[in-house]
Amino acid sequence: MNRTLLFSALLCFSIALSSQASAGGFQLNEHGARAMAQAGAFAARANDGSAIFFNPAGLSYLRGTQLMLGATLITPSYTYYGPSNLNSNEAWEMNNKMFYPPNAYLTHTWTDGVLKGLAAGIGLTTPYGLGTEWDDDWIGRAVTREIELQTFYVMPTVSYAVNEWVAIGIGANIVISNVMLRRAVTNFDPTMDLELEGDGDLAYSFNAGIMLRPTEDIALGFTYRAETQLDFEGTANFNPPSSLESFFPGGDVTTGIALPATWFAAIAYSPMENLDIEFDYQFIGWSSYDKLAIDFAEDGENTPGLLQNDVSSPKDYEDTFIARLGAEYRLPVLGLALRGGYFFDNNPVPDKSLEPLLPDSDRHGLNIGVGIDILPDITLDLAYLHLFLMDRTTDQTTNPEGVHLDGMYSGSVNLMALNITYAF
Amino acid sequence: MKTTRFLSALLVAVVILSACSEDPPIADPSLGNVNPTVYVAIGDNYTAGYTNGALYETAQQYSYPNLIAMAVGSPDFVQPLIPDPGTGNLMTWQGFSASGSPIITYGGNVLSAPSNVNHPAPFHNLGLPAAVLYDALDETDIAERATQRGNPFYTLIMRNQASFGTNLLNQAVKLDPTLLSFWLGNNDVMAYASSGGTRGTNTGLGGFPPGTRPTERASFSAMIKNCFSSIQTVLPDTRVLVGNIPDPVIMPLFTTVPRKIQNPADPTQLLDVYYRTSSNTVGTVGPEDYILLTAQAELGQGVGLHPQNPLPSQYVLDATEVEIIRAAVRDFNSVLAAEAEAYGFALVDCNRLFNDIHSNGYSLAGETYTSSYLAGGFFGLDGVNLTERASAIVANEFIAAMNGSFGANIRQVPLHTIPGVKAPAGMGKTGK
Repeated sequence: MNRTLLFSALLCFSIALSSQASAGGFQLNEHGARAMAQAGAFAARANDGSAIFFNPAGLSYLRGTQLMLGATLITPSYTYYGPSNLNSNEAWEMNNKMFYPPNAYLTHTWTDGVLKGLAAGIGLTTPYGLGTEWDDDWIGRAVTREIELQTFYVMPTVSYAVNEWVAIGIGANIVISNVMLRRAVTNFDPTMDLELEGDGDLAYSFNAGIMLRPTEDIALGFTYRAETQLDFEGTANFNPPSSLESFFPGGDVTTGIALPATWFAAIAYSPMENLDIEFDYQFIGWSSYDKLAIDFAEDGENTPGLLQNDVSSPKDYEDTFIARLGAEYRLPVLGLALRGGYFFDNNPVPDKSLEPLLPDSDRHGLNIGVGIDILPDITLDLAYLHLFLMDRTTDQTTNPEGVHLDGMYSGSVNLMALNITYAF
Repeated sequence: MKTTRFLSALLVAVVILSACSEDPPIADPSLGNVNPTVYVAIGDNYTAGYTNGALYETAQQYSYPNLIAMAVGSPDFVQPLIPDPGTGNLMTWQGFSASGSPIITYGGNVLSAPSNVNHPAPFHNLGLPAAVLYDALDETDIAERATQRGNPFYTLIMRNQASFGTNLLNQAVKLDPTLLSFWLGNNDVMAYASSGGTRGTNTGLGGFPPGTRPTERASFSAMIKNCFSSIQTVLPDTRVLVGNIPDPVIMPLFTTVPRKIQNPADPTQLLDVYYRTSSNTVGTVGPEDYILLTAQAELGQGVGLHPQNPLPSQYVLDATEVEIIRAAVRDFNSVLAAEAEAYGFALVDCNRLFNDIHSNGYSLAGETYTSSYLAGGFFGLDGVNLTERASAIVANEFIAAMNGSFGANIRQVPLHTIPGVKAPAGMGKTGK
């Protein structure tokens, strides 16, 4: 059974890498239904396989061998009202898309013998991703028609419980990524459709965590993930009319993104035997994302006569935080756990960089979920999260760095997660 | 129980958050005091939708008055639509030469009438290519003027002078407009500028021989007062928009050709350009002078590269001529501002708009328009007239003025619905 499941999980990865950022910027923090149901306030307990993501130290407190598989279904909806630069309130809806980034964790914890306290595991997650698409003929077509950024983290992880109340863990992050973006070039009629596609060089990073249990009913967690530089190499195609082909040859391009470092500081408290309440503060170093530069191997600078040129657009994202509060109540009967939570996600995008590529704003997240032991060794976890995106208005008409697509962005996102955990 | 309390707190939070949405920043559209029943536009080439050296239907559809008529919902705005390739000498962009400069071809002189030449009333678009301010008032025979000035548009656009009147103002009044735009006077300085300072529209009042300078301030002022007071007397309830005069010298007709020319034998070497001055001496093009785009053919044949074979004076605006042009623009605009205010008309600051496009570009939704030739996307192939998108940007300036002055809240023209510069027809791969 485990072999079949693992195989289908890998297959799932290969066809469904897409993910839509569901935290500020293009970060995704939903990597397990149990954690998601509790607003991602999970780093102090991390008591399932998703510890590999939330706090690797948590592996030491699991039992035996566990396989946890799941996916998060994400359905964002955004509307842009504008452009106010043209005194317009027209509503432009982003195309409906559905994303289902998967996650998978295989862990083993040694509970006796010489290896007691040691745990090891491997996880597969998609902590950063972005996918937005607008109608080809929409007002902002020269800013974006479509973007898709996918990351895929393979995370071999070890942890060690020094004693009953201190555990540490560390994981390597091997990052596979790709990016595609498409926008109109509208200077000429017919317009051109610039399409860039690139694969990231294999990138490496790490995460580490510590978990403390100073008393019976208090747990503390601290976890850190390092910044990861992604370098993409790919090709550009302007799809020009034949008469302009020699001036817009496209060809090799390079671009890069620094995925931000992030850390969690977490505290969990159990006021009674079956109830846990946890508060997490998550910091995200989004200031790493200062610009998006696209370099053509051949451009007007080095090849006179070409009309294609390097692009560098300032982003200047700001460091930010998410405050998370979650709880789990385990019913004494039926093997049933009830979960809920709330988080506030302070968005990293300054007004001047607000654009339909990533129409971001402060978010409130409300989460609920359940866990059910459907068989003695199989647990099913379900979670639902609704993200309320605060309406956001920009007026950057006088800012030379703005994209000059002012107006109001409004949106919401629904997320549903399902995980199955099999304890061997 | 704590769980119940937690869940009910969640429920309360859901209700509160759902109420946290704003209204979009722009209020609902309204016409305010604008009555769109009959809109009439008086003007010149800019108003006509003349571009790329001709007046033709494909571009006329995007004339700024037609776009304004659509934005305010003015029914039956009738333009003198001339089927392509129109009347004039249509320029077409064919691609780039190996050195990267644009290849432009001319379709040849064509004269065709509007397909609706028998329209039983004056046209709502009274944009008359090459019209000067005096054309708003001139009472002489239209056919005579057409011959005298070598301008076929008088008879194509003004027609039937016995019933409609001999000048633009009479014809406009005939339609009893509820909304009128008046953007005339560009050619009172452009005629001088585009001739390299060799011809003009002055009457001789200021002491200079007639036809050698821009229209004098005194003449311009008298004509504007005459026009505005007639409009106010005959059309007291009409809302009037007045466009002012952009600086010609920022346009690609003057700014495209470099002041020094690459030596064909040695591209690293830049050669001085010689020209015949207005005082009939030979001068060198200096940092304050401008070579006209129309000089390219002559330069290509080596004219101007030797003091004994200077460019004729009509191809160069020297610093003195530039100062004459700028003084005229300042004069005209101070007259227009003062008189528009005196008569309660809304001033549309086209001068500021064009200067802004020259200095900073106009940016919207990831696109930027500049005053550079061809790639700038604002000025057409003749280097003076407007591209379709530029007409939309101008229409939006007029709409902004209506919103500012007439209590209206009219949507501007969505630029993405307007075509960009027509790419060359397929020539196949030309190689790099």
